[in-house]
Amino acid sequence: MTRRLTRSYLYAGAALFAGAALLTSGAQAADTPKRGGKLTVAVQQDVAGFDNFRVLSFAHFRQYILQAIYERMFEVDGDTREIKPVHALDATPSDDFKSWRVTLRKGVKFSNGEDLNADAYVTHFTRLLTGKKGRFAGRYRRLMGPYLEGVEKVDSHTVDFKFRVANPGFKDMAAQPNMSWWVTAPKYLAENQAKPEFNEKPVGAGPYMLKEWRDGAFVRLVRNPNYWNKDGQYLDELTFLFIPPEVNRVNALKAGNADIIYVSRGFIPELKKDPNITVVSGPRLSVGQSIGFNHSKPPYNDIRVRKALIHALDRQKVTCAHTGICRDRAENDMYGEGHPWHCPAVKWPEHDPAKAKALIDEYVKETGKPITFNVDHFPNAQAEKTVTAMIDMWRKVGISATQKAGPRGPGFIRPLLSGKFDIFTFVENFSNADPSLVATRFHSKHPSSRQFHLKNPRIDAAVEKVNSATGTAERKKASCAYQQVLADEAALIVYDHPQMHIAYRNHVKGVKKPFGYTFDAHRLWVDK
Amino acid sequence: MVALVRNLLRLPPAADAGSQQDMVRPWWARVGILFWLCVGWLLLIGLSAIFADVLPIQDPLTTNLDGQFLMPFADGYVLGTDGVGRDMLSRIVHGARISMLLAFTAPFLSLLAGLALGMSAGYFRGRVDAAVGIFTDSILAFPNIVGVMVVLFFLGATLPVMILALAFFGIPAEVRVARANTILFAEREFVLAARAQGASHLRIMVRELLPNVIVPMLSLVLFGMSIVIIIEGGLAFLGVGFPPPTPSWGKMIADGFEEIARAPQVTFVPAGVMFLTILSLNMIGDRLRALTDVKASAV
Repeated sequence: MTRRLTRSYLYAGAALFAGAALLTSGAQAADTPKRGGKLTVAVQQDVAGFDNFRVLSFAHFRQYILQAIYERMFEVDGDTREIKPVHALDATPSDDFKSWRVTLRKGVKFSNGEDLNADAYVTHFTRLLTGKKGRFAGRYRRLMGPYLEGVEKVDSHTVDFKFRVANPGFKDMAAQPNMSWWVTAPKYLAENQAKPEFNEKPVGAGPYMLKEWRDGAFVRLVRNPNYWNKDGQYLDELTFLFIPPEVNRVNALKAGNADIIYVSRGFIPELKKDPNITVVSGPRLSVGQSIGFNHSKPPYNDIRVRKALIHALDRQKVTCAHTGICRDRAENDMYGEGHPWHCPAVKWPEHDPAKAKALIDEYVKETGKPITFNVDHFPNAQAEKTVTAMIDMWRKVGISATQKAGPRGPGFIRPLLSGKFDIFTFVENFSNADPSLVATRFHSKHPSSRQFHLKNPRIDAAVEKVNSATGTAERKKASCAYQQVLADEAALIVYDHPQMHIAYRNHVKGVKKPFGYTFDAHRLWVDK
Repeated sequence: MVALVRNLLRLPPAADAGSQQDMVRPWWARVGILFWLCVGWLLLIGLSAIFADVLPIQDPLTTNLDGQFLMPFADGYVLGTDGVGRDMLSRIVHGARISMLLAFTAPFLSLLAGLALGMSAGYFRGRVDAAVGIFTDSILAFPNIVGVMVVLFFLGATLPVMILALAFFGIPAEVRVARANTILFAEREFVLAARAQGASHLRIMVRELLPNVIVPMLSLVLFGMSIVIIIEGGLAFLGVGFPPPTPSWGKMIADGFEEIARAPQVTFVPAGVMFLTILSLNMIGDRLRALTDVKASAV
């Protein structure tokens, strides 16, 4: 009897072991990158071309496509947050952080066979900073770190990035996908940049190269035969379909016409119900959704009015208006949950309509002028609903406001640039991977500060502390202190910080948690 | 669609409205029950729009962020709520003001301009006719929705601007009908008799031609009314309609479209109201045209 039992246990144990081994091998097979197949990504808009000097767009849907063609020096692993070397092997700062020496990987070639070396980097950055008399340099600097003076060649595969002030966050910024880092082949550039078709025929050093671009319909990429890491080119074909309305992209994913999409918070519950679809989320490294005041004109130059407007708002409820899915609490800084620079302890003027009303009454009694204003906002449904909800909350404390959506396209920012606005909603799309980037825009001497006309000595001092701090802990402390000053001075109203959500069909493999403003479609493979 | 509804309700076809059997029945019986249902719907919409401020409904601008996308009849909201928790019924009633105001102004302004120009062209012919022809052809060169979009973009999307823009782009159709009918009647005996008696051009046009020309044009106005409602909806959908938070049917449909998978009622409720209104206007116009055809042939 005992022997029979022992034998049964042995058989059962062997069966379990065999089952576990099978399961493990199955899981490993699924995780092992598979070569071949096609991947379709649905994005919201066309790329308008591939020359980053001609197309001054920071749009994230463009980044998905162009980073597959160009690649960059470093990448961040979304799961581990580790900075991985790609075209560069390492970056070392000087003692004063005013210079970073970058060692480039040898053997990296562009799709036309040219070498990606120090000369290519110098040519690229010289073009960005001095081309068309340098008038676009500011746009690139705000992505690469402020006060970049230039890039100098040390030897064939070493370059120095030179900054006018200390830039301790350079490597983090260099790991973010944006148009500044996408280098094109220098000889090809010299020979073709004057030609109109140059914008349509990119030559990069990324894993894929352009096969076909049908204006307004799709971009199709195929493997770059000269790519430096042939083991990392899994897909035969990578297609980006342009499907403007988000609901149509979601339906395309559900129907299997797209394999992977970027999606906003409102669609997550619906997509999670589909057993064939997985959703992963991660922090988006941008300033997020806020509204800014025109500090140069009354009544917004009066802190009582700005505070009253914030007291009147239930910022947590405002997050419900944005996507129809409420967040547990509103964001309280310019980074957002999950961002390495997030400051959870920042305290904003609390939701208190009575306090708001008292401050407004005090101001109106003193000046004799009622508070009425217009809110200019981005022309999309989310921004419109958010502003509508805010205006209703302000209405309840006796403030009369109107709203106006800007025109579609880049013209929506015109009121902000012209200074003809009262309150402007903004979604800061520029990378905010490091506090020295757009987070410091409220310093009175920052080129962007003129947009909101802020001249506040407390804010200036806080920004200067952020910029002069070195070492991660000290920088984080200074950065959070600055965020608290912004809240105390009611400089803006931060209410939501969208995360990056990626939804994909289950046969898509290799998807990492997004970290930044894009996801790496070119690193994925399919297992159908 | 009209023919389909007619078949479903087993109504006689419009061409039969003037048959011998019909002629003995009073006009209100000849138009059929569907006509009166349509009139009833338009009256309901029109009266709701007029008395929106005194009706026991919520403020159309008040948001309720605890009750977004509620289904009809949930939490006391008869038609549910939209993406920021506003009462759909209230917004539809207040939105009817925009639609009805546009419907009852722009086509009539087009009618007035169309009558003046079309009758002048048809009566005087020659250079006047050529000039009016160039004018109408020039307007027709722009698709009306594109033309209205351009006007609204530059002058701002306000109600007076939209009314005038829609009226302007509605003129060519009215001119053509007025001109064609004027030419038809200008050589008839009663006009020749008036002319022989020394009547002025103005008198002939107003006293003799206008009563005959205006009847078929009135049914055209009803079609114009439905067209301006559709154009308002189309403009709102393209993002150049009235600014938020002004409730308008087109804007409500556009707002709901983004959420159509999650809350289809936000789009389909205003779309249904707009559909019924346009169907009603078309049905009434169709019936009236059938009746006026009889009158025209009897002149």
